[in-house]
Amino acid sequence: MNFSKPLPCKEEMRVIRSARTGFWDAGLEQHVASCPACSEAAAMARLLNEMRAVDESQCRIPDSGLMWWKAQLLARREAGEDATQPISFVERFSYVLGGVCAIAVCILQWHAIRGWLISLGQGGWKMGSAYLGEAASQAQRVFSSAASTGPNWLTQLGLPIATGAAILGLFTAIAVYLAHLEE
Amino acid sequence: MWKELSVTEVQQLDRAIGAADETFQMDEQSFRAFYDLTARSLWSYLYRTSGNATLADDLAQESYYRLLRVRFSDPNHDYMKNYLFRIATNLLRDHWRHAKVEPPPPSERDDAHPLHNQPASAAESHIESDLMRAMNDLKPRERQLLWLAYVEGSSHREIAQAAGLREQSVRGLLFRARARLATLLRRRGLAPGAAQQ
Repeated sequence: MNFSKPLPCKEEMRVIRSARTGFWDAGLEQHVASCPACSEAAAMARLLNEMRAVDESQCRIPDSGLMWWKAQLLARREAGEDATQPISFVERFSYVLGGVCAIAVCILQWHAIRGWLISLGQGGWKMGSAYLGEAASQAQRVFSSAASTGPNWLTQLGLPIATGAAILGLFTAIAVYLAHLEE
Repeated sequence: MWKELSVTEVQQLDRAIGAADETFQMDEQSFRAFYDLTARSLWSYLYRTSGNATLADDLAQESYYRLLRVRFSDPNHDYMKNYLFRIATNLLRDHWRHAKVEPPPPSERDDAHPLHNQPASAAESHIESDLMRAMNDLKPRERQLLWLAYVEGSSHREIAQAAGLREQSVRGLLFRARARLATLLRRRGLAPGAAQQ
């Protein structure tokens, strides 16, 4: 066999096909004997097809019925994921919105919260009924403080909270409507 | 993780599952016939191209699933087989790209696979082993081109489609890949002519 850099030959694909199938026409066989490129191609095709024959006789592939069943199962799972995707999205969105609202309330009511924390600190850690009484009075002070700051936050920063509450309300209304519709 | 589903969600799931049953263009009988005809050659292609039997198992299954999901069905099995090999080639390329790893070097390849432990005559075993190592020394694309052309009998156009190349460049690449494999075999003292005997 001569491997000294043969040039490509236009008959190579025909030669490969014949080497794979084992059907040669006389003209092509003569050509292969005289053409280094085709001779090499034919030898290579035989070798590689021997490899394939080994694989095909010895590989263990799953049964076609099992493959079909697995494909169906996978398709159903994907369809299920697709179906619950909007629900999960709304769920996640409502969590985020709730979190944002909570942060906004903390920021807007910071003076009241700060006052409450200070009064809590001044009151110290008391136990029993004395503590509960003190806590009740502190809570009263917090509420009154919050009420006194009401017009201020309503005029300055009330719009984002109102918007958030409106969106939340809208989603709740849609969810209730859809649930009612399905029933 | 499973979560509690409402009545609405369950009904929505039921409808989706019903739709999934209509997802496949191919019916079970056609699929099984096509699978039985092509599965071994696809596995062999993936195994010899990747050098990894486990990866070949996974990608072969994924390829059939993708074929079913694209809602593609053609009575011409050759055309479908070509399409299947194109899917498999893309999956293999994606695997290497996403895993950000190059195909393993020859020394780390899956030589422990049961295929390599089959009882065979000493001469057959030697030839098979040398040929496998020579194949593994080629670049993945060279292995793909050689396998598609010499084993699957794909035309230049089909190879170009499967490997994502221009049809005009396939001939040259194929010729160089074959020349490289011949050189590697010669270095191992295995001339293709000798292997036939």
